[in-house]
Amino acid sequence: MKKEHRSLGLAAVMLLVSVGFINAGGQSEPAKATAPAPSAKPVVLRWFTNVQSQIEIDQWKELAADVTKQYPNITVEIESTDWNNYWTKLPAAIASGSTQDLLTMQGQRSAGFATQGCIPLNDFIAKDKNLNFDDFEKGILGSLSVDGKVYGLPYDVGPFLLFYNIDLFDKYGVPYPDDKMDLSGFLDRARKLTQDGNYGYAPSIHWERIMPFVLGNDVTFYDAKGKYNLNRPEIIQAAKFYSELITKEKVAPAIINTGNQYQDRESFYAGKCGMYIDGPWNITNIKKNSKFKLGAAPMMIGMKKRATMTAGSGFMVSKTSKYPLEAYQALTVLTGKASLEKLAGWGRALPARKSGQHVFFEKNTDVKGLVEAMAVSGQPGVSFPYQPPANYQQAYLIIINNFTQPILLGLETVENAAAKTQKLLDEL
Amino acid sequence: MQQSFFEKRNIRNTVTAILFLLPNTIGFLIFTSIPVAASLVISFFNWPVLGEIKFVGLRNFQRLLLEDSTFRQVLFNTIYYTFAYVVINIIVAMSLALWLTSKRAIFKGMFKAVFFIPVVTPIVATAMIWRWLYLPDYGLINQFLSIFKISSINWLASPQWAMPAVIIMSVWQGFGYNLIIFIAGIEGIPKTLLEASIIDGAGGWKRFWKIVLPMLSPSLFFATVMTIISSFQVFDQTFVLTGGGPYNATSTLVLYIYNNAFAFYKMGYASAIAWILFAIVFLTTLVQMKFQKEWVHYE
Repeated sequence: MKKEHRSLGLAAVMLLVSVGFINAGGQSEPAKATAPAPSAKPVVLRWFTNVQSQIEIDQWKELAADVTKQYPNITVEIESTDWNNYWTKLPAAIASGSTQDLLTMQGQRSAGFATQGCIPLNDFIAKDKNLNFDDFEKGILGSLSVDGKVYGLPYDVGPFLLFYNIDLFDKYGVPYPDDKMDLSGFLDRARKLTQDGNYGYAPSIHWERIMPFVLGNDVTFYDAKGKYNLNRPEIIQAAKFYSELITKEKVAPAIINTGNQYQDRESFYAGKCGMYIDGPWNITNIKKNSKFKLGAAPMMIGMKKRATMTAGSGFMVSKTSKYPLEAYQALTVLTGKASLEKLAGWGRALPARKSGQHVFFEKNTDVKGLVEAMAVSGQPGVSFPYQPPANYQQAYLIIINNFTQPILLGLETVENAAAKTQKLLDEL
Repeated sequence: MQQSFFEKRNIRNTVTAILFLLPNTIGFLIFTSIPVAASLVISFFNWPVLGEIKFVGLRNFQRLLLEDSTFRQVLFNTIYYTFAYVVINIIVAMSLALWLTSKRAIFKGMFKAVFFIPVVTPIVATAMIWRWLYLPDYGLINQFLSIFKISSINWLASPQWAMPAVIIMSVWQGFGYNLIIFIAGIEGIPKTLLEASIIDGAGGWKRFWKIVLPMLSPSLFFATVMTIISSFQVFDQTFVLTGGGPYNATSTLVLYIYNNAFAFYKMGYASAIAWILFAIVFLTTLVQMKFQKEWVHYE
């Protein structure tokens, strides 16, 4: 073959291969979620979720395998990323119509994502005699519903609790937190623990950590009309108390990196701080990363009342799934009693099913006071399921940093920070 | 007939060349040209990602340039970063290049590799290490400063020190690239010029200013232009190390674009910011190209 012909041929082959690669990356048309039909042939479902550790990935993989045990034609493949990236990738995926079949959804974020990217499950639920729908906690179900339509089935629910380092309390002879502790009792304990390079409380710039103090003053960030409103004296008062733990009382270490929302967890795991606020879903990670005996207490009695934020998550079926019925079936296994009892046993979650919650307590007897803390937090008027306005956006999390960062760093007064942040929130 | 044969051969060669270029061209069109053109169109719309698109004309640009105080702060941060980073990067790279090309330097190969390793190290790993270095109580940097009785600095949580912290990390990570360019440039200087200057009695400093620097000016120009362009686009360092904080002290243009696009879901506004950034980089490069004849010597 002549040299020129060989070159021409090679160039043509390269062109064909390139076009082939480009076509291989294309997306097929999304299925119509309104026309489900069971499929006898093997189905592979993609499940997009967020994780913080390899432990969690392994746990979810085990539950995914349980789906196949119950429905041999269904295989669930997990695609995961970290928490922050998940909420960045998800809207982009929904907007481009390329979402996975199953999506993990946090209750407080679901309002915006549910109607845009997922299908309501009411029809499936109505026909499913095995679901035991009433077994789910109503609060978290409500978080995953929009206008009466259920978009997701929940797997966990939990109030924010006050976790404490028993060894540090014993070392300094400080009485453990209990259900009678109010803010002055909390401050007193924190002061006694703050010595030898240790601190009483582990702070974070994350807005969730400030919320129980705000709720304890009988107010929240958004008003009755559903608009964000930080310029209220109760919010200012609560935020001032929280920020002064660092800036004035010095019972909490300084924020050392505003890019790290988990400074409180890291400080607590390291045994440097006596108390911190988190949800029961993080017990697995606390046990894995710490070497001290762990205790849990309900949120202290705040300025006006005891209050804490309840959060939870579940799973939804995306609009673009080609196998909505199979996805629903997988969902029922992932949120079934057996799966939730496994999650409870791992300390990963307080099950959203009432029938499975006993396992969580039985498997975490090494966490002192957990049962009592959950019981107190579950009393009427204590737990506040945070359900922001329907236009809740990731933007709120960025903007609210303009409130928490300057007050915790001592750069602005709480009033100024609230006023400046409110201006940005008004533009949302 | 002879002419027809050559014409056919030319056409065949042209077609061959086009076919070889097509894969890259198709990729460039699909993944670069078309998205860039699309972003220009999107900048005239209000597109909330999960919602309807609405034409707003120049409103995004108007708001950005005349009303958005955060944009002004972010622009200042970016210019601050660019100026400081470029100057320090060039000085460090040049100084080490002069040392590594001198007769006194030892283990040259090893040092070249060591200085280049940060360039190819993933930014996440780099940021993790520097986070620990910058710890106020236990970080090595503050431990070192304490030897000179300098009190502990809360590097990443201080609005005054957070940006210098980012710049220092960026210089450590990026100077190796310019170092290699300068080494190649210095080794390309004819040795006869330097020997003649020594014979004429020129000292080291004079040789540097009168011979090395002018001869290195093309490499210096290239390094400066490329470093300025990449500095304006800084994102990884601020995203991973500080998240743009504290209190927007290290928030830069590309990070602001990212937040507007993927956090605030304002694709149109983010596109407008991107085109403003393009205009800034384009004009800066244009000015540099125009003034290069004043100080760049290609012969």
